[in-house]
Amino acid sequence: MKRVVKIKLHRGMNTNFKFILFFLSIILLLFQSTLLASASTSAQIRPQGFPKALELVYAYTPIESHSHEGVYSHLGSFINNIETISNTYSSDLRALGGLVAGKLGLRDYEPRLIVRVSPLEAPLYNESCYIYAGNINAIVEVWNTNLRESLVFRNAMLACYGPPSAARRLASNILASIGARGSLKGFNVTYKRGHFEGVAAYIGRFNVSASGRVDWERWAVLDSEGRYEWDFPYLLPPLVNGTGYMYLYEKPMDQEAKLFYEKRYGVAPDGYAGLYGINTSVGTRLNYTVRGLGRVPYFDTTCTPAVRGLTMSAYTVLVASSPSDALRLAKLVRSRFSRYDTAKVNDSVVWITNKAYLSLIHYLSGHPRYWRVGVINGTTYNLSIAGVRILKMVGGVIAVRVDGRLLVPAYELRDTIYVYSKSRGVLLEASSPLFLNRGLSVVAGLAWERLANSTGAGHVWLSVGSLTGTPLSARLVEARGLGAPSLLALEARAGLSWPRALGAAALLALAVAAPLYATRRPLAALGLLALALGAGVVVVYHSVIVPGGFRVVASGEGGAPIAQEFYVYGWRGDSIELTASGECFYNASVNVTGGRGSWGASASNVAGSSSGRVGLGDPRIYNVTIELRGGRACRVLSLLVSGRGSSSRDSLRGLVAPGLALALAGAALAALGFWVRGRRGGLWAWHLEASYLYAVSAAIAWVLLYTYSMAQRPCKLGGFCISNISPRALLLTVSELPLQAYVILALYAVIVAAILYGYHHESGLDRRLYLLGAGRTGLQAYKLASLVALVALPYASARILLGVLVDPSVALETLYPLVAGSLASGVIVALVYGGATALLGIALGRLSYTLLVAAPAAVVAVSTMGIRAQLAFESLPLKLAVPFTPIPRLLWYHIAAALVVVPLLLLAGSWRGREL
Amino acid sequence: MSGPVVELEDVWVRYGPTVALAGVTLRIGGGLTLLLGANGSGKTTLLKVVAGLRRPSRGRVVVGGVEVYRGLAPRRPPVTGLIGDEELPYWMSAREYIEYASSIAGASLERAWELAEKLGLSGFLERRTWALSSGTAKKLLLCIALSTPSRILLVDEPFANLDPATVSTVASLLAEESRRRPVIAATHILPPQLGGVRGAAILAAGRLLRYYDLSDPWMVEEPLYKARLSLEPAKAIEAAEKLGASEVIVRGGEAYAIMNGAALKACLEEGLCSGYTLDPSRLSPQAA
Repeated sequence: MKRVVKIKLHRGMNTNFKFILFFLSIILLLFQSTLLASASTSAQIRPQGFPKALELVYAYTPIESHSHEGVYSHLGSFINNIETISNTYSSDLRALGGLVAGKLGLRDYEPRLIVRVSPLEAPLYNESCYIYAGNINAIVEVWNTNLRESLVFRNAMLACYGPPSAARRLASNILASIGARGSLKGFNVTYKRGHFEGVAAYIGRFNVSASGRVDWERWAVLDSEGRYEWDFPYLLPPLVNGTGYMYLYEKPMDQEAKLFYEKRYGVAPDGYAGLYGINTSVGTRLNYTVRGLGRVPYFDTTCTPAVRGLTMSAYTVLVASSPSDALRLAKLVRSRFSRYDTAKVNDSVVWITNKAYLSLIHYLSGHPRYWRVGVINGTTYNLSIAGVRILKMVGGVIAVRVDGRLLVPAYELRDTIYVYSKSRGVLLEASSPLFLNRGLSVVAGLAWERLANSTGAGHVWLSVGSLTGTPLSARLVEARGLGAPSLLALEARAGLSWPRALGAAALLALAVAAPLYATRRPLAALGLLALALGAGVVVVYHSVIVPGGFRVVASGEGGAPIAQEFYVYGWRGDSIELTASGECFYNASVNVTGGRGSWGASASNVAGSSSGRVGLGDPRIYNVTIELRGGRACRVLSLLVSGRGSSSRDSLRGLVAPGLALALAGAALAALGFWVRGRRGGLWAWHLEASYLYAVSAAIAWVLLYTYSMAQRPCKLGGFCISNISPRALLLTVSELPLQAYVILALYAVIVAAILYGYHHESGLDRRLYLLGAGRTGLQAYKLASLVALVALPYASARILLGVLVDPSVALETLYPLVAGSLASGVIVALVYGGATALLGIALGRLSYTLLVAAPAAVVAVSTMGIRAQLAFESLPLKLAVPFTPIPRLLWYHIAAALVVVPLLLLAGSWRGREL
Repeated sequence: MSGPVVELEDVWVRYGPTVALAGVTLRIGGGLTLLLGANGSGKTTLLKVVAGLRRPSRGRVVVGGVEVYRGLAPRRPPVTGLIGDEELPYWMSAREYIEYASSIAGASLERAWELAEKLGLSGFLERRTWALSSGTAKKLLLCIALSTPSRILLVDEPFANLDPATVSTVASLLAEESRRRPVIAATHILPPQLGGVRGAAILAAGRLLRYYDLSDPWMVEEPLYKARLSLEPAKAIEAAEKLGASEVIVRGGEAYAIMNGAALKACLEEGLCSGYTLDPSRLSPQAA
């Protein structure tokens, strides 16, 4: 027989409210990350100290007698100055411009324009405008109408596209906002093979043939981190068919990148923006410049028939097509540098092979979490890479060309790409399309600048794997040089141990179920067992990347120091162990940004070795700089940097810790409840027993969330990531969501519903206890304690669990601090949530039980927001100055998130009522 | 008990846009007080207000000398009882729950077992609470509520989901309990066994339509009582007319008269009436 719940009016409201809360929670969970991502995007493009609008100037500089010519003039600061650009880049474009100008009634058509990219709001690509000025192909996308201070032009064309009404409105607004005279006309232009539709219509792709064929459609897209990037895959087909592509990007610098610039060039930009284009058919390149506040490295570029292309940024290097061209190019670049004297010329900036053809185009952001690489190999398979700094192997290979023949375009990437040369060449290996979508951890980055001399000998393997399928048991990034003065080999291994993850999940399930069974809740035990197993599956699916060991070997000859920089994705407890050896090195040092401490060793003119260790903190990417100096007489310098490896030390021992921790915690709670009841009975025994149910529910939820968050980290590094894409992109790519995302969301729903129900039930019991005479203070204290337990236990458990998953040996060795630290941080976080909620509730006299119904959702939401906020802020180019360093930064994020969520809950509570 | 044990002055309670109590002013004394009214009339809300579970948006509430909603945090009134939700610790058996609740409430287990037997719970004590029927669960809750010592007992819908025999039992128990302490019961069922009623508040749409002070039944001027006449129908009608009854009902060979307190007293004194109860129809909102 089942009890029939009496339904009254308020009960109906209660039920409604429960469902409303439930759906609100789900919606909140679904969208908060997106909202946060948007927030972070906005934040990224408006960092402090960064110009609101980056100037973007490009031009072509005549070098030889070639039709592509231009004059470049840079007048300095970034607002209200006029750049003069003369460009004859494309007669077709010029003609097109004239045609459109005629349509618009623009006369006196001066080739003058300042192109400014206004601060980007969330772009609506279907309501954008282009401004054409003069006969150049300067194209600006106007993202909003706030152009008065950011756009100066004379006699330009304005073309907006989008839905007719929207395009017209936008165009009108822009004209009004900039006080421009002009008239709006709808037009529809078809030009040659393309078409060009105007104000009240859509500007589609247009083609420009003749000498410079440019083919683009939507050529600028805001990526997940506020950068522009090409509109994959729209821009790649032109690459495939050889017509070219363009993209525009803008990016602020983060501190690490600035340091890098400063170290290398003596000056660092605040950011950079660029318009980057390729026309592979003629080898033209639109260059871009790098500017920010103050003096920054400044480059321009050129294009000649012989020099097939050059794209420069502060340390982007392109290689010429022949030795002579390369040398000429180098001289040119140097001369440019000299002329503007804004950056030092460094041999490492430009590296030239004597046999290389067009080899590589590489975009470097300077951001350690961002990289993009394209490789085009030369005819002789000589590797032509220099100054390449592969920061993160996350996104995917764009294209691989050999002899100018496109082997594998990016969108055709399948499991593996091999581009071999027999003894010298390139091997780029991308694992799968999921590699693009789901993110991929790269254990280490690689940078070398002195790879090879004129012999061009080089051998590079880049091997990366994805999370799908087999464990990442081996990753190898190795470079070998034949007779090269330096050698760098980096070996990194990572692996996901399925048995370990499954075992941990099983233990988690047992840990959950056993005490529940003991407390005579077999149904709950079964249910949670299923949930825990589900969590285990998700853990496996989304499982964290296990950073394995890595090894960097660098060696040099002569007195030149070896300086290497790479990135390590490390975890708490990881460490980097260093061994430097050589015949006569006198100093070796390793600095780990973000790590704890540094290590240095020295020896004078003696052969020997030294070792040290640098510990790592929270999971994140560490920038490791190693430097080895030797005396001039040194013949061999070498440095071995190795990280702790775990793959080879997989052990079932690692399984024990998380399960044991949870089991002990659960058993302790249950036993305490039994003990209290047996000893004196009373309220607390009840609560202790009851609270465990919800604590473990929340534990599972937390594990899921934490895992989910962690799983997104590599996505954030360039792959697909739910929270790191714009809402529009989410809509566009929702079909590409991995199945696991839906699994996660479904589990979210189930768990949140379960917790909500649980609290609802618990609240009814509370009322019953109250009416039996239980003290109100005790009940409130219990609720506060429940909140604490609700957060602290799962928080700690998740950290322990994941920590052990990552590296059992670390967990075993540092189990105590891990447990203690996790519990402490969990309690702190819980106190923030629970305390804030309770105190505010008590202060308002509205600590209703419905508030507690919403509490789990709040915990979930706030915690996730906190993590997301942390990720977002960590990716800011300017690191946040944390005023209170003793308090973990994450705590501040949580506090900030709680400040948002708790008032909302209070509102919900006050709306529901003020019972108990 | 002298003086009111519960005082409500201009009490308003809102559930969002819904007004649950609208300016209720009421003084409740000892004995059994009934809160009568249709579903949604505000009976349960009024009990919650008295219990300290629902802060009114306006008004003053004094229970057992305690002004409940003074200050930010409500003060605990000296009440126990059964209100609203019927959540039970599903992992416990009925016996365990009685023992457990008694330990919390400081109740006498002997009294609890006695009540359990009276309520017919003996055969269900070993069952888990989730396995109890709604009626049995209600019995369990009533058993605990009645055994819980407090100055004032609040019961919400004590007769709901109960079989007729148990309704009679519960009515008798409430009447018995009301001789020990004030009992406030919200109900829309008036079983004949429900004696000792000292007051009846009629609620409708959150408003107090009328409060009948029944502390001295003989002084009740309204014809609220339904007395059973121990006479043949013909004689009963004649006697009722003489007593001044407002209405006579003959059903199944038995005659009932609707009369006020004075008439009831005379009827009882003259031995014409064999029993009486409150007339539900006279205590309805329509009648009020």
